[in-house]
Amino acid sequence: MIEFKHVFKRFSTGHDALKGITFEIDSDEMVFLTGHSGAGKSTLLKLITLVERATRGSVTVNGADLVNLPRRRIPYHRRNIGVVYQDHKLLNDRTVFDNVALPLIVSGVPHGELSRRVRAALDKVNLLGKERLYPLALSGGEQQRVGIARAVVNRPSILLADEPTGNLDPELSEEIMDLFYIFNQHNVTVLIATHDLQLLARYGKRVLQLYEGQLIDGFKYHPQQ
Amino acid sequence: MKYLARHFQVFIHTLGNIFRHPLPTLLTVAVLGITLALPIGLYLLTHNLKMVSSEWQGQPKATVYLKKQATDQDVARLENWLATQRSWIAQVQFVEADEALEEFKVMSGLGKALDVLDQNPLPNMFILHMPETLPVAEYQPQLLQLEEDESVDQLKYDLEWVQRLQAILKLAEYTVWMIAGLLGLGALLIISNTMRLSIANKSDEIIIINRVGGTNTFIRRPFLYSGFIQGILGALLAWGLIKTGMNWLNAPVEHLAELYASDYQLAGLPLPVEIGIFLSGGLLGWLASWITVSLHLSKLNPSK
Repeated sequence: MIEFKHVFKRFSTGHDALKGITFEIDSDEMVFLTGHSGAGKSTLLKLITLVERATRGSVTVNGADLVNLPRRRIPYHRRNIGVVYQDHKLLNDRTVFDNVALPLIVSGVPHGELSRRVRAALDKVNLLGKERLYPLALSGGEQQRVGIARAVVNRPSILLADEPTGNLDPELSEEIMDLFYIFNQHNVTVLIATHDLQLLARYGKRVLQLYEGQLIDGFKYHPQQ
Repeated sequence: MKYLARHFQVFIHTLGNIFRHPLPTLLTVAVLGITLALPIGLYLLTHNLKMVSSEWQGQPKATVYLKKQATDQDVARLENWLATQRSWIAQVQFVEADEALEEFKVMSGLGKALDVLDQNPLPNMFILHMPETLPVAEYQPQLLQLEEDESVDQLKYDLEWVQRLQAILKLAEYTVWMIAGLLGLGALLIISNTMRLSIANKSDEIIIINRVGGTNTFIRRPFLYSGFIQGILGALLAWGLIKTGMNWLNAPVEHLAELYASDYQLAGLPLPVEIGIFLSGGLLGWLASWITVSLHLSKLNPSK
C-alpha cells in the first residue's frame, strides 16, 4: 500500500531531511510515526501526498510509482489520500458543511450525492447538526473533527495525520485518536505522525521511529496477542 | 453539459463575491477604467483631427488667375496644355469670371451690394487638383513654368501645409498606438498587481484546495472569471468616461465650428472600436489573472 525504498530527501538549502528510509505499510494497517521535532516526520508524509518529491529512492503508493508520476496526475493522486493537519487548515470564511464538501467539489461530485456524503462524514465524527456553523464558532477538538470529516469524505484508502492531537488536551486527544482507530477498523490504512508516546501506547500498533532522518529500531509496541 | 453547468456556477459565485466585497473590485475597476480611457481619448483626438483636415480639403490645389485681356484662344491653349499634364494633375476645373462672381456673392454674403460694380473685377481662373500622395517637388517646376505664361496673371498655391499636416497626423497616429500599447501594458501590470493582492488574501484557500486534490484549472477558474468581469467593468467605465467627455465637449466644439461657418460635429467612437474596448478590457483582466495565479500555483507543487 505504502512502500519506501532507500528514500532520500535533500532540500534546496542542502539540508538532508530523510536519509535512506525503507519501510512498508500494508493495506488496512494502522501505523504511528514518531520522532523528535525536525526528525523528518512531516517530510515523510509530504512525500506520500507529493507535496515534495524524493531526491533518491522509490516511493510507491497504491501501486503507483510516485517518483515518476507526472505533475498533472498529482491532484488525482491526492484525492485517494485524506490528510489531517495539526492546525486543521480549515477555511474560516466557509461553513463546516462547505469545508467538508471541498474535496467532493474539486472531484466534481454531483450536488445531491455531495450533500449526502458530507452529512455521512460529519455523522462519523459526531458533528451532525453543526453544518451551518463557521469553524471559529467551534472548540479546538470540534475543529479537528471537521478536519477529519474533510479528510474522509472522499472515502480515501489512506488516511494521514500530522500531529493531529498537537493542540489538544489529553482527553480530546484520545477522542480524536479513537476516531482514527475506528476508521482503521473500516479498512482504511492509517499513518499518524505524533510525538505523544503515551497516547500511542494505548493502541498497540506498529511504530516507526525517526531519528535525524533515519528509521531506528528503538522501542516497539507490538500488537498485543 | 456538466462542464458548462460548473462554469456557470463558478461565474455566479464570482459575481456574488464581487457584490459581497465591492470595494476592492471598485478600486480595480476605477484604475482599469482610467487606464483604458486614456488611449481611447487619444485615439478620438487624432480621429477627429483627421476628419477636420479632410474637411479642409486635404488635396493640394493651385489656382491659376488669368489676365483680364486673355482671349478665348488663350484659354483654349492653356486648357489643352493642362490636359497633357496628367502625370501631376488629377483634375482641372475652369471657373469663368461671371461664375466666380456669383459664387463670391453667395459666399461673402455681400449679395446685391456687388451689383453696383459696373464691371466684374474677377478674372477667369483654372483650379488644379494635385494627387495627395505626390510630393510637391515633383510638380513645382511645371507650376513655375505655368506662372511664366503670358496669359497667366498670378498663380496661387498652398501645398506644403497640407502635406505637413498629414505628416503630423500620421505621427500623432503612431504616437497614439505607442502610448496605447504602453498603457495597455500598464493596465496588465496594474490588474496583475491587484490580482496578486487578492490572491494573497486567498492564499489559504488556494493551498487547501491544492492539497485536497484540486487541479490547477479548477483553482484558476474563479480568478479568471473575476479578472474577466473586472476587465469588462473597467472597459464599461472607460467607455462611460469617454461618452461623458464627448457630451461635455460637444457644445463648445459646435460653437467653435459655427464661428468657422462649419457644421462640423465631434466624431464618436466607431462600433468596431467600441467592441474592441470591451474585448481588450475583458482579455486584459483574464490574462493578468492567469499570469498571477499560475505564478502562485507553480510554487505550490513540486517543480517536476
